[in-house]
Amino acid sequence: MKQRTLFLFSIITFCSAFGLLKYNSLELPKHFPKPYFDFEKESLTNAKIQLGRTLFYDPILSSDNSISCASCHSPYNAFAHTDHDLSHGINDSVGFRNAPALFNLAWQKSFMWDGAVNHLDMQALAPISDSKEMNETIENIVLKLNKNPHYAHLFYAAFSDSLATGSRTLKALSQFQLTLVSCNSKYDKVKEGKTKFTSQEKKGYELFKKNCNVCHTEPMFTNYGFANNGLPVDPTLNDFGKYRLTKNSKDSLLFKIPPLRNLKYTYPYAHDGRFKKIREMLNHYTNGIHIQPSLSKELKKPIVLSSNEKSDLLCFLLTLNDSTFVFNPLNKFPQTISSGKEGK
Amino acid sequence: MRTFFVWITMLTFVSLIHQNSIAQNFVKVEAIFQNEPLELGKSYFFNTEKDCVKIEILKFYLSDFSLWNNKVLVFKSTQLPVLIDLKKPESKILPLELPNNLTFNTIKFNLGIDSLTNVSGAFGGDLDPTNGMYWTWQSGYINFKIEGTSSISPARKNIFQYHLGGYLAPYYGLREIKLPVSNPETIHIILNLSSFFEYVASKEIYQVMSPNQKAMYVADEIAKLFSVQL
Repeated sequence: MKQRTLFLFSIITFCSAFGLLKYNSLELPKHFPKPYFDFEKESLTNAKIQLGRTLFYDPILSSDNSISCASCHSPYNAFAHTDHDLSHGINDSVGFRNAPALFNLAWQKSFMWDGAVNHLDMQALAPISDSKEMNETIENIVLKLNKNPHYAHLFYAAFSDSLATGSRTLKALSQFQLTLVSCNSKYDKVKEGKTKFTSQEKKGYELFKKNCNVCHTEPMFTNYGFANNGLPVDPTLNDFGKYRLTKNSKDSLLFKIPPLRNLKYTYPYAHDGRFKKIREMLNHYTNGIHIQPSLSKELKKPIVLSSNEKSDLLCFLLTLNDSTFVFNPLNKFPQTISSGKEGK
Repeated sequence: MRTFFVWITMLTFVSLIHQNSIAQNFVKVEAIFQNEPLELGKSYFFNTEKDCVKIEILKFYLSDFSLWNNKVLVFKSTQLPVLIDLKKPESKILPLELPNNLTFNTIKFNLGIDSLTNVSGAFGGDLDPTNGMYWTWQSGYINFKIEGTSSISPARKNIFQYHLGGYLAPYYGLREIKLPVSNPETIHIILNLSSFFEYVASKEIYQVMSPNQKAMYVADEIAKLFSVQL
């Protein structure tokens, strides 16, 4: 009897250790920088990640249980919202920005298109509380979760206590999102010496380094800063970006510089989804820059690209698509959501 | 095994000494209006009975308590910020474990949450975002929240709302408060709100809900309303 218990115990220990290893050491390629997120303070565990994953796909986070995080951040679209310029939430309400793709968040210092949120843990509060997104409160979510026996198990596994709290809910959501690492594109394989660019991709890469890399810095393809990239204000939205927060004219029209990975899956582009195609975005940079006082200094001198050069650049940008990430079953809808509703 | 027992004996010994040298003191926080303890939902008349105010919510964070004796720091609390909520009478009594025979004549504490805590992600307990003291449309704790109705407010249904916060310059909402104390077992901190409605709240300033210039002014004024009963 004693031997059998010991045997079972070692099996369980072995399995959980294996699970931890698989997740905890986010396997990162050598050409990636050190993450900004402090994993020493907050290490990943399989149970927290699975709780976060369940929460991410569960419409319980919205006031009428209709909208989940995945409603606007679909795994098949690199966790972006396609087809709609402005993302829509509860009761088909249309918001005022395009939901950004979610990946490589452990390197990101601030969140939302205007940087309104300073930590990944706190980001979920914004869509949860927005009347056009989930129209819910974290207080009520915690009440709902604490009535649900399935979540009692998941919280117990994650925190050795079955009680759902605001901070545990948010931290679990963070943990799942931290595992969304996109590092398996052709570009990454070239960096690892596993394959080579075609000659056109190589030409595109050179053009990229010359014209784009200051802001969309490789290998993350963003410098995680904010910039006015010369888009004229859409008078139907009057969205002035970071200015909304700081009321400082220097911040007028500054938006987060998005990473350029997975563009194939994340159309439309720009904070208000005004461009349906990557080529339209490139045309904006060569011909559409709207001169404003806060315009990024990198864009004050015109970018000149011939039509062929644009094709080369586009060809390089396509090497940043990461199908391994987009189709990774570990990131997808878990089969364990008890409310029985999948996000729209 | 022997080492283990030695350790246990030592630990027991140390904890016994520790217990003996610590006194259980309290900080008691009380909000008052017109010299009586504030009652939520009660109508108070002021400005020679012309105006009326009813406070429905009063919640605020106090943090970083320290005790000083003639400018010398004698005690610094390591407690996380505490949330005082008038709806929860137990939140108004804060235990303070002080070494015995400590002499001090000044208490310092902060009204609000420091910048570092504000950028360090989610916390539980008094800092849990379910306490309704965290903004959602942008990051940051609400340091001080007071809501209700007042005849001074030109808003719909005469509502007034002050959600004071801000963790970034130039709108850093935390206020350091320094008050003289005698040396009793209970330090009784008073927040006198009558003068706030007599002098600060006005038909121009009745709704402050983001970190801005008005919020900084109101935070300055609120900080002046604290005193210690000597």
